[in-house]
Amino acid sequence: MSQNLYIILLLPLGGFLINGLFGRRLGDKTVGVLGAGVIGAAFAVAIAAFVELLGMPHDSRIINPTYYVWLAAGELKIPFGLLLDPLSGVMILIVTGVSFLIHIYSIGYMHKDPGYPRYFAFLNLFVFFMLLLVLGDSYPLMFVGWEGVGLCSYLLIGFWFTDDVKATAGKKAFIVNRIGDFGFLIGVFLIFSVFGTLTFKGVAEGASVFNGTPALAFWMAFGLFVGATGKSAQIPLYVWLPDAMAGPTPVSALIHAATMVTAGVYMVARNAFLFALSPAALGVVAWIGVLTAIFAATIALVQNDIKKVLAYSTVSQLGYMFVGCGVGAFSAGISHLMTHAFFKALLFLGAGSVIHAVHYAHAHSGYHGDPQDIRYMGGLRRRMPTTYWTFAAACLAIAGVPGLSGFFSKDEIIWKAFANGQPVVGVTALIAAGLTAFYMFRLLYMTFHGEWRGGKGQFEHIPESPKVMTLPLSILGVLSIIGGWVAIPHILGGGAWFEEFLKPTFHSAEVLLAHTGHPSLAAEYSVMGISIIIAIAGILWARRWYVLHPEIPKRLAARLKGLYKVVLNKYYVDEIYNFTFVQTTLALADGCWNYFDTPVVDGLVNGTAAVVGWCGGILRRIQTGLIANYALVMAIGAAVLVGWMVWK
Amino acid sequence: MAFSYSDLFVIAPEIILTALALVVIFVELAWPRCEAALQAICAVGILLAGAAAAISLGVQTTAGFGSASFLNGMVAADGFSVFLKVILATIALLIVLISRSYFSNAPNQPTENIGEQKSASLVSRLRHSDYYSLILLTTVGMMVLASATDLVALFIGLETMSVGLYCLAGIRFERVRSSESALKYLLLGAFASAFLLFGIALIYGATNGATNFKAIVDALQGSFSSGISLLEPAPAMKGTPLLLAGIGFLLIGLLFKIAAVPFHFWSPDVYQGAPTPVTAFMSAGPKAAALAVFIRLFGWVLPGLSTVWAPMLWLIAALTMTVGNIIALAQTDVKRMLAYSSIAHAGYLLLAILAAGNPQVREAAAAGMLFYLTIYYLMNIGAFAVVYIINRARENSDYQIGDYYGLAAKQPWVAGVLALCLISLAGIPPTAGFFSKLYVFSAAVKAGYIGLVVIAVLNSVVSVYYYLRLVVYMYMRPLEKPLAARLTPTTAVALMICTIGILGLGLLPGGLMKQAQTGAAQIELPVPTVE
Repeated sequence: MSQNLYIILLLPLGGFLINGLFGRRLGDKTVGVLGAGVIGAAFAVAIAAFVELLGMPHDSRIINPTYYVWLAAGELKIPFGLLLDPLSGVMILIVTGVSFLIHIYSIGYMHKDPGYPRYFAFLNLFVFFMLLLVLGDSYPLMFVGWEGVGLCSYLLIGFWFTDDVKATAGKKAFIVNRIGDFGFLIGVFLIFSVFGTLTFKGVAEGASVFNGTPALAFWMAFGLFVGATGKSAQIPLYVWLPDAMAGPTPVSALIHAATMVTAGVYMVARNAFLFALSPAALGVVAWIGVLTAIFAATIALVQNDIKKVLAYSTVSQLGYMFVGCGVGAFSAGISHLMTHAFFKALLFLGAGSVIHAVHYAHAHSGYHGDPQDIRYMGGLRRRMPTTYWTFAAACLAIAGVPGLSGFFSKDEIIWKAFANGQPVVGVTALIAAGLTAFYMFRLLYMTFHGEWRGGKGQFEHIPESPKVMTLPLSILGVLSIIGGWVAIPHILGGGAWFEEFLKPTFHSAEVLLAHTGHPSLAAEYSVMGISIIIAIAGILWARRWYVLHPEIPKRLAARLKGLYKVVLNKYYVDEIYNFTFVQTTLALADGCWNYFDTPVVDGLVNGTAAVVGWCGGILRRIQTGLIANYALVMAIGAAVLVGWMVWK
Repeated sequence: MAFSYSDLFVIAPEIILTALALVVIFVELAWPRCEAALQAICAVGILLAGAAAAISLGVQTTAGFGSASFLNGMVAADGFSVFLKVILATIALLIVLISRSYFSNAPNQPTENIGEQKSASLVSRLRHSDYYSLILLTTVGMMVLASATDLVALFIGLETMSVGLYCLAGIRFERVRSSESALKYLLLGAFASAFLLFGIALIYGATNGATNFKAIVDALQGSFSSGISLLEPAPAMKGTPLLLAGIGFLLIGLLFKIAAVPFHFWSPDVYQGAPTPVTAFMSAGPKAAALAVFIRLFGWVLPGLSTVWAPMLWLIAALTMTVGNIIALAQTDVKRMLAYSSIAHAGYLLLAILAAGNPQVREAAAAGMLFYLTIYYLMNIGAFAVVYIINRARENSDYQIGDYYGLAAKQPWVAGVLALCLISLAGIPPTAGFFSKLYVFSAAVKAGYIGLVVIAVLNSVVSVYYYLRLVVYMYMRPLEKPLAARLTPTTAVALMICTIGILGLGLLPGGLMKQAQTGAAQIELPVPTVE
């Protein structure tokens, strides 16, 4: 197995090639089965690889086959090698497992879409690039995956490209990510110039004996982190993710919740040895993370589009993961990445199920409204029990109700913030946790409880989704509940198995950070207690406002009209960006175009083209077709050449 | 003169191909109208020859022949020449694959005047085996040329190759264009060969009777004793006028074969008139073989005189790429455009020769050249094969660009292959054409030819226009005339090889580059055993 790790990459790639090239001829049924099948097979391979990893001694769980010298130019040698260690082992399980479920779900969700083969081809390609990103053992290989998932994200956001808004959303995601990628590249260039190698192994070895200035260490880590803020939608580059919801909902679940957007967190964790060199950079990571967490949570409080709420929630939860990394608790960040993949994928798929059903009801009653607006939903639990129960489980998990997956991972992050000397970060994260519980249950209550607020005579038309969609929901529901049990901390009688498992990967970073002093058990219990109280309070509050007294939020919104409007419009960040960056760039571009490009560059280019074309015409005439002419020119050339050689 | 049978290993590929050429003729005599069998025999034989080349290297290294000389130091059996023999064998294989039923459909083609009756009967007497055996024998000539380490072997290889090509260019002699092409090529080629031979004679005189490369090196050094070459640190030598004139004439002969300006005039006319599969062959094989011996001569034998020849070659390289690209811009005939494009590529390849004049980077330059030649034949043969398919489907006697309008809608696969080849020729990643340019250009930069590399890069930019123009026409213009292109299975296989090669080596260039570096690191100059 270990040497044949590449099979896991070839499976989705093969699915992409077959579906992409022959999809139209195969028929939708084959395409769907093939698309999901290759991912299922990849999942099986991932399990086999993971089991093999588990069978190895705890401290030497590394499988690093090198297949090929990918590029060699001068001293730059880039091998094509894969790196399977506890970190990437966990990642490939998440990526292939969640992808497999979402592929199955998509068979039902995308049914009868004219772009069915194209959809599965892109989705398979995405999984290929995501696995390459996770498994690549060098920065360039990771970057190929990084750009590849970005490309697939762009293609899938704009999947219904005939709709202008959706195509624009795709472009926005692409452009914002370019800014982040620029930072990533700068970081990689710095790393190469400092360490002279680009494999993770080589750089980790170099980092352990690094003796450069703190500023140098900071800029290397900071460059990488800028890349992470782009891909993982953190302040200030988070603006693309809410718009990315224009894509099909399973895509939102897979790419914009469970996997691709977590690539930034994975990258920071992968480079733990580098970030550990610069406490300042880690501080930036923690602060950006926690600010994003609370900022996005406040926006999520008032959104009315079911997917927008979830999008801001994703941004906020990604912030938590960065807090985990930023306070040096990398395994806590990855643990939250995993549980978040379960419950957020479930939430999106549940939302997709709701949208699918409401859309169906609209279509059957001749009513045309927005099928995503929760103000016109309500009471759906009676029509869609499976969707409701699984959605509720996910809400409990994300809110941090004890015993469920989100509780263990989130609580660990908050606790580590306090334990590692970042109390302000910890308190902010606690507040954001309360907001999370509130907005998630607001969403749950408005969608599934109360009375139907949509068009008349529609409610009866709302169907439960087909088995092919509810089955993945149920599996993810179970995972949302039990997924965190691998990370039960010692104080609750667990073995913190997850942290132990990841320890070898983060060992060198933890040695460098060396958080001394053992905080008391009492402190840990009290932080946990507060976090539970806050979560329950958030849920109860949402219940009071949206089930018991639904008139309160309306009254409040009317009273605080100005504030409400600002938050509803997402603090006008898009408008500010538009005004400052986009408009200035456009104005600059316009100026360049009118006063420089048109007269100078175009003139030069057209002039050059005209001159070149004219020369071509002339030179062409020398080609007379007469041998005598050719021989004459040859003889002259020969005379000049030999003459120059001899008499120079 | 010592001769041992192990010497035959070294030229096993040549022996196999020569025998195969005879077999092909006899098979058709015994069993007429069996083109498929002939093709299969050729394909298997060529594969055998390629394998023999690779094995001969293996045998040599395991048996510890080392740098011992074979056949009196006439040819080298080093990694470099083996790499080239494999390239040349693959070229021959691809050409055999795309030539299927070249003669059988002949009556469909509009023949131009001169007694149709008579020419038709002439054509019927043409045999497939004539064509295939010529391909094989020409390949033998190329292999000798590519591995030559003696001016005599060089001349023999060059002439074997050239005579075969003259015949191939005129093999459709019932067509005026084909005959004209052969005649022009023969006359100008004879002219160039005369220069070359004269150059050899002068060098022979100037070096006290040396034709062997190693002997020339020794003569230039003024000592016959030490085995150490004159390379590092290259002392600026001052050659006698006799020697310099000899080198100049030799240079002209080689420049003619790779169609460098101003010795390129034959190539557009010959390329256009020759049958398209032959054109594909001519654009790939002779260039590779001539450049191989070119770089061995100027990088390993004459680097000490680089102060003399480099400036001239600099000028010729700049002229070649610029003239090739600029005239290609003005072409409306696709086959002719590709002819000029191949002139431009010869200009880029001259950068490798120039870089090889610097002993520090000569191995990188030779490796880059090997990589370039591999990619070059893949994309060029792929492009010409599609031109051939379209031309036959159109039943035209010319190759106007209008024939390609809207091709993608009707023939997505064929158009896709052509587009890929053109993008690779333009040097756009992720196709292999990007890396081939990158390696050669970076070697040239290391050797200090930054100005020339800037010219080369600007030229690449110009070339993007005419390559992509064709792509745009295929994808963006409506189909003008209906088209029913038939793809024979063997052609499909050839196109697939080209596609996989261009894409595969574009994504994973490392493996081939490593092979090329190994080959380039093994360039040797065997010593003659008898003085």
